[in-house]
Amino acid sequence: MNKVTRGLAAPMLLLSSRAALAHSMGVVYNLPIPFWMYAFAASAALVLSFLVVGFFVTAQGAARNFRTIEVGVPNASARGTVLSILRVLSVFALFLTILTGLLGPANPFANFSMTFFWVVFVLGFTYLTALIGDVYALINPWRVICDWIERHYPGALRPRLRYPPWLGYYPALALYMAFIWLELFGQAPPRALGLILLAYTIVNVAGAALFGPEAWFRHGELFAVFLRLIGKISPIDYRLDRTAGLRDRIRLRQPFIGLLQEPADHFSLLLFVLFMLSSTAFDGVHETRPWVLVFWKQIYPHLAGLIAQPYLFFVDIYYYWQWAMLFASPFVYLAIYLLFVWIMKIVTGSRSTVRDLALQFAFTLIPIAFVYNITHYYTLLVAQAPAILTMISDPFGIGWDLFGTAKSYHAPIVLLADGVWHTQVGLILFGHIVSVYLAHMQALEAFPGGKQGVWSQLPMLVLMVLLTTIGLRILSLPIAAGQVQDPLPTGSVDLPFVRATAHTAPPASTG
Amino acid sequence: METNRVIVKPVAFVLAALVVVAALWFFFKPQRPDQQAADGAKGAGVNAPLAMSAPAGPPPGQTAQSPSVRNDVFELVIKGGKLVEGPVVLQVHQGEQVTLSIRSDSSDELHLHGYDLHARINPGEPVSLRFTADRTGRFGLELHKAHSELGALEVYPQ
Repeated sequence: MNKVTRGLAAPMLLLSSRAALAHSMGVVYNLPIPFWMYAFAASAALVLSFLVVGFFVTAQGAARNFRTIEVGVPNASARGTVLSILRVLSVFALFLTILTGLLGPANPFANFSMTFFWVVFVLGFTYLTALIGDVYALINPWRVICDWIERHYPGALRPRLRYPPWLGYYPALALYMAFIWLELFGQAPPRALGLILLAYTIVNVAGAALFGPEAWFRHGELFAVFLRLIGKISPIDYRLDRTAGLRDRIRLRQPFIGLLQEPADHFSLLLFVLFMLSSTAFDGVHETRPWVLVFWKQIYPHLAGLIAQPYLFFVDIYYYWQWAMLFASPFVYLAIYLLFVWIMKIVTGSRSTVRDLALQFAFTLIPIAFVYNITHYYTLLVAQAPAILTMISDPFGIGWDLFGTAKSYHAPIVLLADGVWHTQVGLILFGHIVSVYLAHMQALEAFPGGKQGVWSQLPMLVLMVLLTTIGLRILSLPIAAGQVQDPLPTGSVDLPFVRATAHTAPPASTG
Repeated sequence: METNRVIVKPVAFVLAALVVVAALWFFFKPQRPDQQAADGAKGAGVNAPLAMSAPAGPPPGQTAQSPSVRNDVFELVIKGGKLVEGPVVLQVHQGEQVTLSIRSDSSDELHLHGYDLHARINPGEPVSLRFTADRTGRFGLELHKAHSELGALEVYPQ
């Protein structure tokens, strides 16, 4: 071992221990979309946006119509039984995930908890929620645990503090940021995931004990907030009363219309929505070649001269730089968003404040954020979710075969790249159109000036085309791989640059 | 009359949208690579996948033309768990024969994700990994012991 490699051994080890998993959710096999598809989709987004404008300009007295249909709610006892079963299952799934994480196989690909939490729950359940509505609000395992505590120790979770209005959704936003950090950089093995979920359970019970379950699960629990927003996409709206059973309702509505039924009620919720957008965009961009080179070609050479052995130092700094960019991303989007809202206010001469307008239009961005999430992760869901069928038979990896599926091996399904590209582009266009449409519906409400209201929407339209184009461009960027050439022109040693998230050892099952 | 308008207008706009999207799609879609070769001028502007994301490393290795199936041969040299010679991104098209010939100064195990191919590597003994690139996508090429990603295989649709 020569001097250079010995010097590098330490950071290499550091890298590999951090690089336990490419992505907490698994390995993505997506290819960047071809440039022509990016060009096609970006132009289509632009042209279709103007078609939507045309639709509204020619509309006569278009009024927002929120037709909803009441659906018969099954009788109280049947509904109670179904809900009770779902709640027990939900808590059972949480405990099983924690226990398998702590006690199951150390190999992340073979451990039930990893696939169940990251793929089935975080991805699958989110997309399911968009279809069937915010069922999570009714079966949230942490909420159910709090209900049980309340039942057995009445008064244990009475609000000790009034939830301060200024706090808004900031607890959920902070937890959401921590969650995305864990997903992208945490590289948490199953043991850590088990501990984290256990800690999160304690956080939720403590939050409920401090502010009361109602306030905490509305503002603090990140999945409750996230899935409530996603559930607004769904055509099914649950209005179930937790206490009395008399006012329970299930309503059908047009898909996505739920996003217009109420504005964001706090500035922090706007930031939450923007982080939905920016975190997915960041996940898309943070391993691409152009992005990686920003640090290593634009920043590193200027700072490298300051210290001896700069590479060793800056390999670590690079991680912090990536984290900082992730946490800064929603604020960058906020600045852009507020700029366009401000222009909209100027154009319309509206008397509303920029803040009020920003809150009114916040949810119209959710379709863009949602389809962007799907385009990034749906291949993962297809590739990894079937493995849960094998693991469910032997969740602890100790030789059980509960359902006779333990021995079945599912090779990861790799979809055809061509089909993936077209689906991605199609989904993004769809989400874009829905967002533009919703923004116009919202404009008719916010600026009741007829056609003026429609043209006032140009700033919002430009913003949405911008967001969609950025999203598409990111999908088309080449991905950084392996080692980057020595970023220093006069580099005396070769600087191995191992990608921040080199892949780990593959699962033994596929070996 | 009024209900007629309510239905006809959205349908007309949806149809217009579909026509526009289809027209744009045909406008942007590059012709098939073989046609593109004949139509050189156009090929420069509209990139086929291979030219789209040129890696920093040397271009895809020497290619031996066989009468029916293209055979891509990549030579990779590994020193101290790092790739010192050969492309970082190996770009091929679906259906092509791929040969990785690897030389390393230490023993390790090479793993190609997605295809789940493994190759034992011993110092000084060149090893070859041959397979047909039947799955499209981007697959990491990784050294087990060194825990380092050497590069990636990108298989583009034909």
